[in-house]
Amino acid sequence: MSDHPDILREPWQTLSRQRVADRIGIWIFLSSEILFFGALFLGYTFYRHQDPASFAEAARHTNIWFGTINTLLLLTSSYTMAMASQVADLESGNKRFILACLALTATFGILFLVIKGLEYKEDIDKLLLPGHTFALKSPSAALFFAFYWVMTAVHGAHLTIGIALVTRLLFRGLRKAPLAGNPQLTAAALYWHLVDLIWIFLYPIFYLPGRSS
Amino acid sequence: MKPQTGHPIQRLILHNGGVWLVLLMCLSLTLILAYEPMGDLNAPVALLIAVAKALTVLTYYMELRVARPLVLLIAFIPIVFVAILFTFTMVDVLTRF
Repeated sequence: MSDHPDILREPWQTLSRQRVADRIGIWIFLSSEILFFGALFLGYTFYRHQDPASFAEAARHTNIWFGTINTLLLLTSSYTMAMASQVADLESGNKRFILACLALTATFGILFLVIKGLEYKEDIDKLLLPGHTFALKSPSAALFFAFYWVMTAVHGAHLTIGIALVTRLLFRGLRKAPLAGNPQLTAAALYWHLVDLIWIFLYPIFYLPGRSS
Repeated sequence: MKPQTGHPIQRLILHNGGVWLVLLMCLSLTLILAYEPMGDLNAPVALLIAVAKALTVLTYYMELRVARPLVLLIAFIPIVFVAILFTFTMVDVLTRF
């Protein structure tokens, strides 16, 4: 792990110091993301508490299999991303292995978006987009689906940024830029895991309520 | 302490693979329990499993178990803030109506 000029940035003189600063910096950014999504989760909790039966009824209309397969994909992508990041931290960071892990991570992310797209199409066909043609009677069901669309779309936007970051690292790696010890890889990995964390909480609030009744 | 053996990449594959299997078991459990009629307990149980999954990702994949104290503090603070946000809002909602 040398202080490669391609990855060492101003004002740091050594890569080790840059890595410490980058890790702290990305965690501060992730903290702001947690607060942002926290407010959305609070809005959902508030309205669900007002009318839990309608929220459960609305949640039965989401496709649990799309949601579960997407959870599986994101958890697996976190595994491959963690492998890329942790192997890059090794003294003997194996570049081909890191590139393969990054390619797998981006692929899982793209598959997630494809499945989400299919799910959105199904939701639109079932008239689950709140508005004049909304299929469910209860106003609370419309609120449920308003949160569903907003929160899954914002999550999808975050995932798209994550895929772009991972793909950029992949192409930079293929063009001979070093990946071992690269602080950008650590930052991208932490961001990716946060996107996974958000989904871990979206899954039980949108796909699981009302299944047992 | 047991001495670590094997290639470092193999060790990482096994270690992170074990974490992945735990996450998949949690996912299976939450899916199965969602169909169990537990009344008011369904939602808290699903959220509890989600918290367990999140802590696993934070600890192992995001490497908080080896993070320096400042990083731990930065990661912990938003969780406290969100907890305050939820507590004060829900205390009001639960006692007002």
